[in-house]
Amino acid sequence: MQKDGLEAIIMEICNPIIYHFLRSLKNNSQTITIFELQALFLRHFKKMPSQYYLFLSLALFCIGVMGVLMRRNAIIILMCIELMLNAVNLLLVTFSKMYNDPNAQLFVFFIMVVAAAEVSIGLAIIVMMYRKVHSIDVHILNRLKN
Amino acid sequence: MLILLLILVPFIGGLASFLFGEKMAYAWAVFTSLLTLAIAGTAYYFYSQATHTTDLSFDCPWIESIGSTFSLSMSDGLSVLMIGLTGLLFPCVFISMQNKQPERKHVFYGLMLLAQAGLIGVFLAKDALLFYLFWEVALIPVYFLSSMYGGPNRIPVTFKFFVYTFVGSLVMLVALLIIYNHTPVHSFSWDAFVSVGRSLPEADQSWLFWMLFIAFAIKMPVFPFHTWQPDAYEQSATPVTVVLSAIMVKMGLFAVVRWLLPIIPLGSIHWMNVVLLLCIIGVVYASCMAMVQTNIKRLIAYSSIAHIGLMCAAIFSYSNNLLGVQGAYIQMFNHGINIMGLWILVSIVENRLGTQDLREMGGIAKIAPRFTIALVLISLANIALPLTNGFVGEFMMLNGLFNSISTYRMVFTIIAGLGVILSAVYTLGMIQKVAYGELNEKTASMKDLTMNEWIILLVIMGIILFLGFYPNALMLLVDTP
Amino acid sequence: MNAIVLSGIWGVVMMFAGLFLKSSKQIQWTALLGIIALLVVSILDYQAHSVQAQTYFGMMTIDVYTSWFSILITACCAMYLLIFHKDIAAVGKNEAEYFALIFFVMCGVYLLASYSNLLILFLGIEILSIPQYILAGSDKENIKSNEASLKYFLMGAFSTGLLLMGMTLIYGATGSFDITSEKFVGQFEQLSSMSSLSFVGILLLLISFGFKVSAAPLHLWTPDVYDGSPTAFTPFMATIVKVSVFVAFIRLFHFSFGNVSDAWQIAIASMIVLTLIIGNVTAVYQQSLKRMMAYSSIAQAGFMLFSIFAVNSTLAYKGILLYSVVYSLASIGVFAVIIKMKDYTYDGFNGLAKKQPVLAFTATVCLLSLVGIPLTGGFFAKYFVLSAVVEQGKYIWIVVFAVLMAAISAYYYFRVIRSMYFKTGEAAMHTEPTTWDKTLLILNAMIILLLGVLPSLVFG
Repeated sequence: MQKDGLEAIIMEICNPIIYHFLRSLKNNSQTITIFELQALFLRHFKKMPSQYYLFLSLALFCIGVMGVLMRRNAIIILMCIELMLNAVNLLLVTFSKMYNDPNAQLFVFFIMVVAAAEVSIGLAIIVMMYRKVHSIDVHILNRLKN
Repeated sequence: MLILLLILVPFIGGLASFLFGEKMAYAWAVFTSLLTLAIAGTAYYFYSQATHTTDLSFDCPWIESIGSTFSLSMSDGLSVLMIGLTGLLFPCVFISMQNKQPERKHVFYGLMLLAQAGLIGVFLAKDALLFYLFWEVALIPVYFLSSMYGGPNRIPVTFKFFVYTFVGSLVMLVALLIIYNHTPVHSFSWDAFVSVGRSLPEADQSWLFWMLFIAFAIKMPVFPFHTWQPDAYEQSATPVTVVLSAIMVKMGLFAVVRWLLPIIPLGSIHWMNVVLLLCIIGVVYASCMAMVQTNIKRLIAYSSIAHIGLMCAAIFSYSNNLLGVQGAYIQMFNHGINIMGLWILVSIVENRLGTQDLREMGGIAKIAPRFTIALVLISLANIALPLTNGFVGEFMMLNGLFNSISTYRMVFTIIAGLGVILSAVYTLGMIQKVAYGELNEKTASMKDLTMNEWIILLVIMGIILFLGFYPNALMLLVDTP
Repeated sequence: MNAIVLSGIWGVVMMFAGLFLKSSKQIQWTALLGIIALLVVSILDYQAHSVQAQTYFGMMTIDVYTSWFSILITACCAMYLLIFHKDIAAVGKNEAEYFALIFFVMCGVYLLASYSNLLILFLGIEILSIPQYILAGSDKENIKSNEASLKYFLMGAFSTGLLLMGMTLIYGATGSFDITSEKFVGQFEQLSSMSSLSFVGILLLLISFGFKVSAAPLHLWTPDVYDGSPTAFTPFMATIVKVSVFVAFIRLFHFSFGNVSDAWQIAIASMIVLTLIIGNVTAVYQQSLKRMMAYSSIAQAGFMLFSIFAVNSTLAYKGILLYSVVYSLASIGVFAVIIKMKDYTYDGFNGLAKKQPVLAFTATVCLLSLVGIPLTGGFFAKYFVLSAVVEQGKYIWIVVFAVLMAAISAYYYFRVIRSMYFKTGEAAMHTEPTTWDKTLLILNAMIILLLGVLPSLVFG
């Protein structure tokens, strides 16, 4: 059977289930509810190996680290730190699912709470700094040295 | 308990001196040092009678978890000699200072007494950790003393001295720790160190030897490590210089005898020739340097390096008949007495004339006969003329060197003998420049010795002559090392 | 155990005290009362937990060692508050809040001392760090203080991210956060069976730890933060907080990762070498005493790292206890003198011995202790951590290197002594010390000297 365009890509990359699902959608031209779609995707993602999540969250984490190291704007650095924390959260949830262990999800809540506290402090410090030097460029800190 | 008092009396006396204030300081210092001398005398009496031997050692658990005991002992002739020297030296120095008191007396005498406590501790300690502790503790008061009192350039010079010794002693600490870790039940006691150190393989011993020897060599000082010494002696106040040169350098020699040779025997024999070479180079080099000095304090400093070099060589000679080591023991005591006499004379000259430059002196013999008598006699003892105390020791040391097991013993002995001749050259030159020649306007107003100085110098001269005529008094102590 | 609760509660009490108590004196007395109460409670805890006990659903393990450490660190904090309470109140308007934040930090310290779950470790580190960001910036008008605060915050938050990633990866390898559980212990039984996830996790934890204790090459924030923060808070950050992080991580690295020490020991070794070199050599070139003390705290961290380096040695545990106490007291003693001065440069100290002999004497004792001269506690502190390494038989070279670095440290510490005693000058004072201050400083110096003669007192 010759397939073209999107169908071929989906056939190649994704699970055949989705392919059949799309086929049935086309032929019958029947409307389906969002819930059915969700259920379908969930069923599919359960089979997705957890390494994918590991790589995704490590990629996010690395983006965060690079952002902290390379950006100059204090707010963006703060956001990159948040990105790092959220990468950790994603990974924790993955492992939680993998081990069937709720502890890790609990950990996620703690991280969220602490991150919120940290951000509130951090923003206050940035505002304090901004009032003094009218800039949130961290490179200005090096100029202030000594 | 008696032996504990030897440390406690000067230690508490020193602390009390800080609290008593300036008025009492001098009398208190003299009293404390005389009391220490009396205790040392009593201890010597017990030692010679071989009674009350329990009084001559002290043991109590200190840090049990690492196997360290607070153990002091006056067990052999060498420590008796060193304690005697230390006990004798401090009252002499104090009394000779009566005419010219330093500023802030209570600080000065307090630090001096603390230094005495540390020095006595070094000579008594039978526990490696305790030994290290006293070794450093003796240094700190001396550092403060020579930084606070002395010549204009004293602060950097003293700091150089401090850094040299501190680096050396830290490396020594690592070496002690390594040996400690080889002891079967993890003990710091001297006996455990000796038994475990002997059994170490020669390869280990040969580098452990240098870790320990460098620390001791800096203190002595042996030739390449001596650069701190002339500056420090020149810049420190003379009473401090006495402590430095008469006792602190003996700490290095003492440590070699007590903590190096028995513990690292194979390493010591392995490196014997190198050490002997360094010592002999030191003797010749320092003698030559002494001849060209114009500053009297630097001259005596270099002469001290030369003498110490010979003593160190004798200790490392490993002669068959033990004469070398015994001679070194005797000479350690005698050199302490002689150099103290010389420094007291130098301080008298310096205080009265206001200069250390030999070129500005001369003719003192005409107006100060007592001073000249003392100068000549003590200088002759320094050259080791027969019938002075220096002769016996020097003779035994050269004899020991000649009988050394080293393959190059002939060369070493001949060059060391040359050093003795050189010492006569520079010492006699010094006498000539100070005492004879023409009077100049500076020396014309020189006063002769006052009563207290005369008494101290008479005591010193008495010891010199007594030990010159009757060296057996010391020989009995060192006969069975 | 009760100390954790009390420190949290007393933090809240202090915040209310700021509302209701009008006089600054009363607030200070409340804080002092709190720290004394904390000390008493931790002593009671110690007596109650003579055997190992697990609490909080097994998330915390309290044994003799941790509760004894709690007592010691509380005592150090009490000494800090006693000496500095006036200076803390003088930093800004919100004096009660500063004390409250200090109590919150103490809460984090207790958590770190006795966690047995990575979650508590994380919470402890955060409770420890977040109040410090505020304390660093508490001098709001001073731009250096602001800068210190921002720098500290960004670095701290970044290292928190690394810490969490490390924990998560270790969780991914083991399936448990509980460091005493079988799953966790089994993973780190031997190097060959350890998964690469935990390897990366350990390295990330190590990096984060390096940030917190300012070990090179992760020390770059330290001088600016310690220098910029109000002088009243710098000793707190440099001593009590730092040593608590050490005690926290020594547990993790020795108990949990001790069997796989080959994986991380070389990293610690390179950290030690870099920290000692950078800390000591840079300290030599400083002109300001406060900045010099910042670099010296880096250098001292290098020595404390030895206790982690010497795996599973009882000497290392004893060493870190003694080092914590002695280093804290000595640094507090030096800073107590610095804060009294008008000029923080070396020349500002010229002639202090003539003007204020007591201050000069206590500072000298503290400085000698930091160098590691015998008869002061600093000698035995260095002795124990170094002999823990010598005991292992290998890596002697690093010990020799460390003692040479200690000799370099003598240079800059003795420079202060030289200024105080051997040089003449004005030594202008910012505030004149009262008799009470002097008594406390002498007490502090006496404790250091006592520990130099009888170090076994801190081993409990």
